[in-house]
Amino acid sequence: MTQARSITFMDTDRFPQARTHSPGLEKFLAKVERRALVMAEIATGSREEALDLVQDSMMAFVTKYACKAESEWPPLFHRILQNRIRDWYRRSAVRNRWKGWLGFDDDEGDPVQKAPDPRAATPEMELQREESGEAISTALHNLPLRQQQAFMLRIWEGLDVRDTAKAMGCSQGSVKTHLFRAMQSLRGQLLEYRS
Amino acid sequence: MNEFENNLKKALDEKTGALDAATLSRLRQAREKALDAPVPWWRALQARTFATVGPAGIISHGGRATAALSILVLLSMLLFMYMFVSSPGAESTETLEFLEILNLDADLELVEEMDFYHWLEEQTSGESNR
Repeated sequence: MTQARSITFMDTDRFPQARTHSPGLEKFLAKVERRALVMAEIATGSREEALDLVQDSMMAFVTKYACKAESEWPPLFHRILQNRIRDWYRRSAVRNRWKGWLGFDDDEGDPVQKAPDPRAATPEMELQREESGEAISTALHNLPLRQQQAFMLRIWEGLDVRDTAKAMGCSQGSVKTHLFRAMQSLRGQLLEYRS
Repeated sequence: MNEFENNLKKALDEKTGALDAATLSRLRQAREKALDAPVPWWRALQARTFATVGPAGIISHGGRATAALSILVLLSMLLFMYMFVSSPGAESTETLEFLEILNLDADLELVEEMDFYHWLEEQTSGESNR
């Protein structure tokens, strides 16, 4: 605590433009950002959307909660991220409903965006990656959002039930229920990973 | 944790490790942007207070801040009363609107900070239970 105090005051007093955040904040974000991206990508099915959600979450976390104790950061960050994902779901649902009513199909998209990236992985690498992770990603993507969140936070991120409940904004009992159903569904879909 | 859960975790870790350089670069840029974002002054003050006195001493600082805020509110009320009494005509509408805006801001701040107060209450009750 003493060290954190001296660093904070040194930085802000000598360099008014310097970052006022604790040095652990950058490390924390660097540690969680990749997993956060994968979580958001599985939830949304789009890397671009996932990158936007992660950036928004990091921005909101830094401006609102960086002053909290470091031990409180993981559930707070994930709460922001999961709220952003939930908002994205709501917006998508409304957008799809409107498209359905108006009779529009999905956007064709920019052909340049759709063109294959020459720097992308080779077909062999893609195949290997697909074999290792795509089945799991698909199974997780197919889960209802709350079950998906419970699995990601509790099993993958390793938060305890209390912190998972905080991050999801629900009771600890709900976390256990969602997780139980998620595991049941995943066991049914991913037989090859059971042994 | 059973083997099935371990296998799932491992596969997700591999997916995370296989992110391409362009994506990692964009993540780094997003992080830099977030860290460079201006922090509102009251949150910076909150952070400084926390870093200076720690969780144990935050109550005494909080007390001073509350006292300062109370004085500010009292002065605002006195100013408002003075303006209201001295010009009960057209200006009073403007004053009322001004006060409404002030109240609106205060409410918004309270709503925005609700998480923090809820959190603080939990922390306090958690410590007293120990």
